[in-house]
Amino acid sequence: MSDKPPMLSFFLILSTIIFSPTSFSQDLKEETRIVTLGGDISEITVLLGHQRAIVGRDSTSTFPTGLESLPNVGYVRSLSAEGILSLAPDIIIASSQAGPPEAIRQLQATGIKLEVLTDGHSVSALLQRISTVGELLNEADLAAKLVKDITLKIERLNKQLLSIKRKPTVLFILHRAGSSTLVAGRNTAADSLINLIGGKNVINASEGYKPVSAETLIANSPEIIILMKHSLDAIGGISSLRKHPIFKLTPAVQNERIITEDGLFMLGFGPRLPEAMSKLMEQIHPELQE
Amino acid sequence: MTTDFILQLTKHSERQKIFILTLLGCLLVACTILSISVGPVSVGINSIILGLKKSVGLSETIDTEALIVEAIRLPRTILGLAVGFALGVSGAALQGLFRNPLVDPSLIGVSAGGALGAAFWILIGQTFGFLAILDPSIMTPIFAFVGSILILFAIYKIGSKSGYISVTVMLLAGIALNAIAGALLGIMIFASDDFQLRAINFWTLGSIAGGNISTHAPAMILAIISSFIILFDCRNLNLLMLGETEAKNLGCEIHVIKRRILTLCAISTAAAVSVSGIIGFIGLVAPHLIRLLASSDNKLVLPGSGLLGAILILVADMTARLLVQPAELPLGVMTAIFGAPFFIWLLIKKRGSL
Repeated sequence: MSDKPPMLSFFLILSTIIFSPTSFSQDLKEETRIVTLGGDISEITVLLGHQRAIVGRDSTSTFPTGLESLPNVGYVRSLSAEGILSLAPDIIIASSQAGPPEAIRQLQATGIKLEVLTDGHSVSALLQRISTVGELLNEADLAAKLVKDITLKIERLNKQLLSIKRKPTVLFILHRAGSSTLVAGRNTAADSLINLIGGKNVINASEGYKPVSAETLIANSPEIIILMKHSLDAIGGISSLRKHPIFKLTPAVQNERIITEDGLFMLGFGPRLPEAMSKLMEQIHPELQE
Repeated sequence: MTTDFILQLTKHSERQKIFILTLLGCLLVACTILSISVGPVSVGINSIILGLKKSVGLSETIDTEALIVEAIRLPRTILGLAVGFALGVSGAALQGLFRNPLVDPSLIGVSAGGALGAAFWILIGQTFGFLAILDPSIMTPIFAFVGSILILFAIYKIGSKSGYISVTVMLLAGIALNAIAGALLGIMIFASDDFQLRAINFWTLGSIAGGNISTHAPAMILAIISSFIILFDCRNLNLLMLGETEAKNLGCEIHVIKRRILTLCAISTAAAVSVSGIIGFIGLVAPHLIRLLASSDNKLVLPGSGLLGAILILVADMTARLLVQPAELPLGVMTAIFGAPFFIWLLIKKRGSL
């Protein structure tokens, strides 16, 4: 049963082959091995020039390309301590969502360097995470540059938002199955995003992702519906929303204002946040393009 | 006729019984050693011994591999042994007591009550954290244990009237209370945020990966001791197989025995479930496997189910950690995937004689 080393070295060889053309210069230390847990954290690590040092990632780390071929230690909230240790990391950089707590405790008990980053779906939390990863990887300068870059981009976007006269009402659908629709209420990544792009979340009575009744949906008459690409595919595309007895009554469906984007891009609150904001703003505020 | 039956059962050669129990014991020892030795990290024999020495205080210096044995593998193995043994013995005893082959610990509300208690704490724990007079990590098990015991007590109260326990009423009450507990759990899931939802979900799927000797010791000791005491009732359970009236005629104080076995099963399974979450199928399958493979003599079925329960959990856990490494599958999924097909195969093979 101890045939792990061949498997492990297979992955190592694979990742070396895949990443050999990338730059060799920026590594912290030639042999440093990093495990990143959390899609946003993997993106930051890659942007700080350490893609080659990543030896494992969680299942939410799917961007940029190349990460998906690395060993997957499972969903960020149901990790296995020994699985992560089998990748022999020198440092584990984890999102605050990483768990279960027992696995985190076990990792700490083995004395490995484990950094759990600050929580939060906000620009300031994102900038904080970038700075922390920068310090961990000895890339403080690069991180400062990235922080400045993102701050500037977001300031520019906020300036654009000043010219908006009215905030359109937005509904974020996480998931739809059978007759139940799971939508984003307050204190969710989607809610923060809607606020950032100058929209108004129609669901403000409940917290978290909660099922919502058909009547509430119609009563709130959202002008825009946002969902993740794979959620729309699961529903059966826009045409099935148009045929749906309840959704077809909403202004969003009637005016074909349904926006889909990749989940990590939109809700990851990673370094691509300005791009995500800009892309969504173009679509929910058509007046900005003039 | 009845004495013939008993004779036939017990005659089922003492030697065969000892042989089967020894075999299961050896298998369990092998599984235990394997469970400490295998995992996504390949750990050398020296580090394993070093890790074991460290955990009993014989060694101070330690390397990372030994730490993995000490902090991760040994605790989860010990937890698996305790939980598997408790679930196996209780399952066998409850099936004998209810004289119903479909009974397992979840039917008397242990799982649903435990899930309810755990979810309750997961929900209020953040807000009322100051209530955690003890280490927060053992508050969930405590609430789960209390939840199990409360539901079980309710089922018992509904099913008994002035000391007389009706098995049928208890089973039906169990189904009803399971439904109520399920509904309450649904409400808690509705009220939970992402993090709490994940914690509840994790708990209902069951796992021994988070085994922790210091915080789980009280529950493990409780589970092991109470299931050991159940073993002493194997003769009474054999008499009960004849029917309640016959057992009474043979000098069995049925209601005392029923209450005792129920209480012990409640304590042992509630304690087990409180630290591992819901691990299905072990309590149902282990006793049946022993009966189908060997005999229905409870002198064999009770201890055999305990040993087999522990074996099944360890095998399922090893597979869970090796199959999709470096990730890990939920243990509850593995026990069902392993247990069910084997069980079906046995059913088909033996259906003529059942």
